[in-house]
Amino acid sequence: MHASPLLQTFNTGPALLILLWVIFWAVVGGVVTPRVYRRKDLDASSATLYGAVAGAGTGPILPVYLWVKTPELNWRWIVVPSALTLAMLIWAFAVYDPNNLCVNNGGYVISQISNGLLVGVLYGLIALGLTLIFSILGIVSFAHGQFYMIGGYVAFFVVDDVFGLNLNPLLGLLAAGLVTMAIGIVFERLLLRPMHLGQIERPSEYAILVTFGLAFFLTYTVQATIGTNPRKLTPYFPIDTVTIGPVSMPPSRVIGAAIGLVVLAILYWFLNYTWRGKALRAVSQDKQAAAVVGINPLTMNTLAFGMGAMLAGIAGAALVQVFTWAPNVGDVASARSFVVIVLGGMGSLIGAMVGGLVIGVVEALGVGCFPDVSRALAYQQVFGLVIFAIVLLLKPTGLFGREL
Amino acid sequence: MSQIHLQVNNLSKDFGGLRAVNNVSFEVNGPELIGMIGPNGAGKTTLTNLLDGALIPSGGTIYLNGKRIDGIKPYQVARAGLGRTFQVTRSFRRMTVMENLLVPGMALHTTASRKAQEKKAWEVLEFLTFEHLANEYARSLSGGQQKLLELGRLLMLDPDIIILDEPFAGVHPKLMEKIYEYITTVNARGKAFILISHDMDTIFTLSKRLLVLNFGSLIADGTPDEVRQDPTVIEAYLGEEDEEYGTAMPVVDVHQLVEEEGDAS
Amino acid sequence: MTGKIILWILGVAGLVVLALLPLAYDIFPFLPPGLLNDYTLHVLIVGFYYAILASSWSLLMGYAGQFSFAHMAFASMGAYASGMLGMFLGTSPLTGIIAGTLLAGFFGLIIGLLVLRLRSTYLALFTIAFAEIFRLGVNAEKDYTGGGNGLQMDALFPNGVDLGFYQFDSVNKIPPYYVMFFLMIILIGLMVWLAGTRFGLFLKSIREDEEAAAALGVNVVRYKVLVFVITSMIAGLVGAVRGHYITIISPNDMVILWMSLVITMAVLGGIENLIAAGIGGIVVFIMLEFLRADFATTTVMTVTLTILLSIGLYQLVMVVARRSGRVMKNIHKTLAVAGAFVVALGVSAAIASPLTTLISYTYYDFSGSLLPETIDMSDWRLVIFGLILMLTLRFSQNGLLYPIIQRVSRTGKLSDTVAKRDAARAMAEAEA
Ligand SMILES: Nc1ncnc2c1ncn2[C@@H]1O[C@H](COP(=O)(O)OP(=O)(O)OP(=O)(O)O)[C@@H](O)[C@H]1O
Ligand SMILES: [Mg+2]
Repeated sequence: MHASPLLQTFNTGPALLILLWVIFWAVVGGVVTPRVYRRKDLDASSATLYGAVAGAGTGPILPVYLWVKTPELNWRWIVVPSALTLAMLIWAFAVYDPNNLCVNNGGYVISQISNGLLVGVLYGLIALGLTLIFSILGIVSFAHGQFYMIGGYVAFFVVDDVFGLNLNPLLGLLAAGLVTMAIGIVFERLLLRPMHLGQIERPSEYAILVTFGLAFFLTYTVQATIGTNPRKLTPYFPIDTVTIGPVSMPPSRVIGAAIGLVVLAILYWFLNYTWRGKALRAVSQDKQAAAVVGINPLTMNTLAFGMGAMLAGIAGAALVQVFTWAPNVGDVASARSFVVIVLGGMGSLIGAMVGGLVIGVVEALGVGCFPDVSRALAYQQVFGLVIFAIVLLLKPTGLFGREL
Repeated sequence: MSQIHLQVNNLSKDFGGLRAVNNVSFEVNGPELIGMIGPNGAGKTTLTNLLDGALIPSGGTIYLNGKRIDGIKPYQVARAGLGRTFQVTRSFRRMTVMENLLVPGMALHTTASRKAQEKKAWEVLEFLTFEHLANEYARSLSGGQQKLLELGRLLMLDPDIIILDEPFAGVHPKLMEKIYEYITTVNARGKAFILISHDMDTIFTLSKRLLVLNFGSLIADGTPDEVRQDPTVIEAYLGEEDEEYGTAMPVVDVHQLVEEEGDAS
Repeated sequence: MTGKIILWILGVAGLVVLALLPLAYDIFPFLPPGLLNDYTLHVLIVGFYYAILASSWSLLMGYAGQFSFAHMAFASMGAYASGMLGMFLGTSPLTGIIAGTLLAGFFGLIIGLLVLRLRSTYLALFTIAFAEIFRLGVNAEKDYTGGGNGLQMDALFPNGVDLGFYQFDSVNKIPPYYVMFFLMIILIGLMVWLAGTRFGLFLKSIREDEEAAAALGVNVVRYKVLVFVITSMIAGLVGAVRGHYITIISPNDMVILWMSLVITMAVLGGIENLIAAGIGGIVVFIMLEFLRADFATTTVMTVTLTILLSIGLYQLVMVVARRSGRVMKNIHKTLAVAGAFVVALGVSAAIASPLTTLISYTYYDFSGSLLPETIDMSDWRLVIFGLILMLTLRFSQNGLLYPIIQRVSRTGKLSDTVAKRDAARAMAEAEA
């Protein structure tokens, strides 16, 4: 309708041909492979996915090999074809839009990727708490972003001089962690514990709805008390922009990522070297066995939820100096955390960090490479969400998730 | 009513590397009362899931009354005339007993009026001596009553072949009698039964024919007496001399049974 | 008189009042002026809209057990389809509404097919993803959708309505009022009817146990997809009608807040009863509007504090009682609730006023806006509803309205059931 004149410079035809080739062989591989495996009386449960990826990545080559040799399908048969599929798609994109910075400027790509990784650490940090909660309580907290938002505000008021506090950023982080942890613990005790005591009829629906109610409550409590005016904190520490080759990283993000890595290290230490941490891990692996050796699962639930909230709060405190803060930042943070933990595998801490990195890079490249610059930013979240939807449909256990 | 005929040919099922059901073939002709036994993990539940369409076989075919039923959906299998219960009771907890019974009734007769089905449901309730519970929610029933309710739902579905997965597990002797009666009565009305159980006493007295599964394979198929003498069965169970039966019979560990109650199948 | 009849009379009376409302001054000329105006009608029109959405969400969630956060997205999809058709092809609102309904139904079909394997949390997450992608897409594609500035739509009746003896112009609220009112009756009626047929029965069995339902002959796939299609179409239809009534739509109609409100409405009404959920929709929306106006802040503060404090006190009493090993009978619990409520009310009333002053001070000081006399309630009312939502979920999972309906409708039956049960017990004893 209102096609921009730019559109004429795109090589739609050839790119479409490549795309069709990929799709065609993906369909062939996906349809034929399971049949071949079933015909030979072999396990065909993952043959559709593996066959489709093989077709998409290598055209007829790998699928034919699979049909003839029918090897046992393990991770080996999907990693390389996935990479090749990605390469095919990139090729199609490069043909489509040869003038794109992402296609003809390697430095630009590298800088996008490294900035994506930097932001990805932060995304991982936000999502860590959510995945911790899931691994212990078996629920997804829809109020996770709100804890993040509140943590950010607490740090803001402690560090900024609205109240004349002007305190050390470390105190800001601490206060954010404590406040969000307190809210989390109170909420868990009052509204989630009954669920684990069997007092609630439809626990899984209840968990979704009640955390959702909490999100609603927290968002508007904050909005009602301190308004919607956006706020922004200057970077916590006066450092210079970090520049390595073509990559330049803004100080606030470097500080945020550094805080994230420190928190991650502390969390790692806590989970591996303290009694409570080990107890948490035990519960996440086997509730019954943990109960037998004297770990009270109810206490662990409260602890996990409190810690999850605290991690979100600290992440907020780390990022309030990076992003502009408003009561609705929680919504975006929640959505992104869902994407991250599902991609990484629900309940997996490593998965959350890796998922964060992947989503960070995907968003950075998505925004940086989107052919129409005027709309690129508006689609920032969509890139992650599309991956999220696909992962949910094809492999709900994500990259590092356990089979449920 | 046409003759009941179930034919299972070389049925197999793999889970990853594990072959849970291995080349199983057998037939059911007419309203037989068949028992199926085998140690834990022998593949009995998996076989049931294959027959009922909940799992797709890795190989083999199944014919019910001349119609091929492997690879079709469970609801189609149910309509074709094969009903089953689950090892763990699965009543519709937040529906009334009456609604529980109406589900299969209405599902089977796509044009039937609710009135007619309700009338039929009342007959079933009478058979189960359940009339007073018609409007109770299933969740408020005791475990045993829920088991009976599941049997009632099968009566509404009115299949030719009924597979009961451990109907006697965790059941009070009194209720056991009732289930026993249910099986014999319904069997006498011309329905075939495949009865999975670890309760050797009951299964040996009740069934006229026994199937024995071990490690996914059918290792014996014959009358209780034949099975009792069968050397492979004796070996498979590694049983000791059993006073009551004279020959080697499986020793069923009660604790194991109790624990199994909670397991999802 | 049995409870059922009472409910019927109440329901019909309520509908008659709503049907005659726009004509109130014609029927009762002596009514004081200002009681009924465009604003009142507007609130009711949108209230009906939410009633339909809450009710259809309940069909999806309460009956079929399919958790969806995409309901508002479907409503907006219907509206955008109609709006864009009108804008680019100049179609009439009626054509647009039909197209919007079909489009929403088509996407409902696709989503329904895609999510067949997903349950509870995963389904909730997937539908959030879908809704967000749709919202962000609409936001980004400014050339077609108007982006964040919104999309202008034709009025529902662009040329007004001519009844011969009376003409309504295109901005008159009365025609849309009746359109939305009858849509509500027809659509909720349709859903209630459907819920009473095999469709509703099967949906419930699927909610309870998919595999067991399939083993008993229920075509699970068909009914799961069907319920998505039907509820999406209903959402798309009323979304399009609302769009033409408001005449401007924007991606803001899809922010999570509105979905939260629909959920709140359905939960407060009772997600297992379509009519209760619908009434919840109207009531909650009216209350929201009521609270938006210059409602005495102190009152609201008092109410909020009372709820919070009484729950806290009640919990405290229970904890103390449990610690001391006392058995709490129902009567004790009731007393504890009442006591906690009275104490909380007293305390709240005493501190509400100073607290209000404090909050209004901080609020305006922080946000840097001008200093009006009272707090802007538009956020606080949402806080209140968030709180009520959580408490309802915790203490009355069937909602606030549905249990009342259930109790009333059972009044006549109760003695009957008791008699039956006693007879059965007597028989069992005789046998033994
Ligand atoms: N969905 C599944 N995925 C992987 N393995 C499975 C699955 N279902 C069953 N198995 C395996 O298949 C084998 C047979 O299981 P099955 O439940 O059929 O045994 P069973 O004879 O019913 O045992 P029981 O008497 O304990 O009920 C077991 O080793 C079990 O672990
Ligand atoms: Mg079994």
